[in-house]
Amino acid sequence: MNLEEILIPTEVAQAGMSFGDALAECVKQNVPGIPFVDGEGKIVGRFSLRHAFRLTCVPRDYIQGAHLLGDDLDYMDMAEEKAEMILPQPVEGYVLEDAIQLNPGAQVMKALAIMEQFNTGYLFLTDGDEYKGVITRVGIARLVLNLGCC
Amino acid sequence: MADFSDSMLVSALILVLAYALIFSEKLHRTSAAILGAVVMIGVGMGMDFYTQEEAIAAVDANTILLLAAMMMLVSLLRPTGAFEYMAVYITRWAKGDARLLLIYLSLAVSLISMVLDNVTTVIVFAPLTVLICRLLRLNPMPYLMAEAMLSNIGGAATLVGDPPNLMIGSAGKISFNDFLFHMGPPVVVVWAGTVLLLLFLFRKQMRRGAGEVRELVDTHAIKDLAGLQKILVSLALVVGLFFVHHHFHFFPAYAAFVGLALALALMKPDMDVLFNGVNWSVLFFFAGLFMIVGGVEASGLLNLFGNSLAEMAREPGQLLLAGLMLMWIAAVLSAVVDNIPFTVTMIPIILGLESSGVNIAPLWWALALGVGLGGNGTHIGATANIIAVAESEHSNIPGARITPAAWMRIGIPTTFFSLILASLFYSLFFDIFR
Repeated sequence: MNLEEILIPTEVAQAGMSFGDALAECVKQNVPGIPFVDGEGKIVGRFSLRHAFRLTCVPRDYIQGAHLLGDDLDYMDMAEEKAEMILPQPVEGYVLEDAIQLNPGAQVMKALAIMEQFNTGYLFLTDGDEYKGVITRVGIARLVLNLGCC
Repeated sequence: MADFSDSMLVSALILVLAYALIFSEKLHRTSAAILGAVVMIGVGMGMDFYTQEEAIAAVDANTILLLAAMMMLVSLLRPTGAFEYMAVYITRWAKGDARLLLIYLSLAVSLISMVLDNVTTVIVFAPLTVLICRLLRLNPMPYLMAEAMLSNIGGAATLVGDPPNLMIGSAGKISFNDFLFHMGPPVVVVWAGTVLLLLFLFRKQMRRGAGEVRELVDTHAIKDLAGLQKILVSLALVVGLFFVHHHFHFFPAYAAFVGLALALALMKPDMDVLFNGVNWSVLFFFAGLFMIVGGVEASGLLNLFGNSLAEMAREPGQLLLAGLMLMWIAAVLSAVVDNIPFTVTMIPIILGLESSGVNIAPLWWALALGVGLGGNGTHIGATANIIAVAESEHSNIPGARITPAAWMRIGIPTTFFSLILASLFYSLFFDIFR
């Protein structure tokens, strides 16, 4: 199985880009995160939807007490003014420093193992310093289905 | 009186350097304590005033094992959801009243802290408190500070409520009941006074009620009902044994291990998860301190120091004054530095006074009150305070952040007030403490 078959090419996030732009790229490509690169184009981090939402919308106490929250707490919805406040923010404030990368020649089992080890559902494929795109666990599932076996 | 020897000087120097390293936080306190212990033993053997056998004997195994057993019991209780369940009902009973919520939350945390580790209690309750305050649109700052301060005070009431108490109780061979009998009444007075003072100091933040009553739901609060029942039975056994341990000549550590053994047999927990719940760093920190102070004791320095104090404390009329001085010095030091090193150092000094004919019983209680109450003065005075501060920062709620200055604005008057109350109680009922 070739990981490049499930590669999703994306734009990269970089300094000067807004939170909204990075979010839009994730939505457009249907990926959970994109790389963050420095001025020389080297991957130095990642913009992750999970991390971004954790920083902007889900305080720690909500996470710990999530199972205690009722469904009728209407004011817990994302407020329009909050979204308007967050979207123009610079993306740099929402970047995680770790960016797990994999060579396109790596095997699927290794990709899955690395996803498990780093508790993530996606990885960046890079050929040397060249960024190729994102692979996701859903993509690997598609590969497996295409093989007709598991 | 013995002369000041080279070994006394060297052991004192090692102790001072180790404590300076601990308080400077240049090195993790456990690393500093282990380093200090290794140097003390090595130098002690070289200068022939301290042996490896003495160093091992200096570690109070009753304290270390009791702490370890209680940590394991807490790590079995925590995932069951018992604390979350309590938080749900506290919110309901408060009915949106800001003051009642503070009293109920503080009372719950204080009562739990009398039996279980107060740091764990605050770790669990702090995020729940922020969540409750968010629901009720209240500033969590008064609640977080009150929980930390009152859990520190509540923990001072029992033998197992606070690590210094464990050490004092173990060294002084004080039973759980004796501890509760002597420390319970002053702690109740101090606790009630502190709650009233906090309600006054936070009156602006609490002027309005929460308005609309919003509640947490208890449907999924308990995550493991069968586990909860088993751990509660085990904890009940432990607490029951604490009340009678002296009749059976059980060490408190053994009483805790009886309950732990029952819990392990009933719950069959994953051992890796269980042992991950033990704060090994704290246990090794304490062991290191015991070894460092053991070296100073073996050099004869503490005996020399104790003899000087004995001159003052031997006079019955001066004993009250000595107790009050000890309480206030312990409190002031505990406000700015970790109270454990001070307690570990004071224990052999107080024990040494006994051989000089001093009635040391009042000094144990004075020390316990001082180190128990002093930690509230600053945000670094107790671990529970640091947790409350961290949670206030994580909440990102405007006005909720507890800065060091904000803590001291409330903490210093609260500590002074509680020390005055404790001193009055100690003086008025001094016969109880004799």
